[in-house]
Amino acid sequence: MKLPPMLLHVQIPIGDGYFGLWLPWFLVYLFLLILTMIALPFLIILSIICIPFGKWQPIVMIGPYIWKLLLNMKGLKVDIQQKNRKLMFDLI
Amino acid sequence: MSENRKRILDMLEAGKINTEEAMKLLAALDDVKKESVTSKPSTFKKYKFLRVMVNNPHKVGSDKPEKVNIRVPVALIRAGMKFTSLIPDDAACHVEGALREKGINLNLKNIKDEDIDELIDALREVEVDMDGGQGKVRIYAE
Repeated sequence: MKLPPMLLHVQIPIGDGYFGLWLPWFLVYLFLLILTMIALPFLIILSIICIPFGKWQPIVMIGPYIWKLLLNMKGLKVDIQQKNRKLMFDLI
Repeated sequence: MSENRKRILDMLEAGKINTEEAMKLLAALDDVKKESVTSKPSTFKKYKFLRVMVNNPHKVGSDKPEKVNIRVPVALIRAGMKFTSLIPDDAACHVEGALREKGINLNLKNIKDEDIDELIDALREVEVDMDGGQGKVRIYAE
């Protein structure tokens, strides 16, 4: 089973160098889960209102698509170097 | 033994065809079999990441980045492509029309996994020179 990213490794340039941070990315899921639960009733009502206009599908599908995007971010890495300065984020 | 081969041998046994005709039919059957094997759809190698590397030593000393290394999971590209189905029909028509004018025939709302595989396969090894060959942009799949 493919696991979603759990940690975010960040390197931020400061002065002539950089400093690294390991952040608990899994907390983002908890936050988003709560946000989804809160937004869900409103989204359902909105999609019901939009049925006659035929615009309900994007409202219903946006949530699952965002989740799918988040769960597939494992391995995403951006690393920009300039002399000793470094800006990097890596989802692990 | 395949059904067709058996049928040919039955016909030979019954005297409906002679040995030479049977040989010809069996050879034709072999040719058809070979063709069906070679014409199978090509399967693309399953790449996990698409990597973009920019190496620009010319920029050493300037305030611009010297090295950029970006690794994008292919699964993320696939997931991102799903968002195209959320584009409103009229907006998709405008975009497709503009792309068609540029000679790109793309159905934005119906991008399949095979299309993404084809795109990544085409990008698996691309190298672009910049700044008169002093810098390089390399795109490859791994």
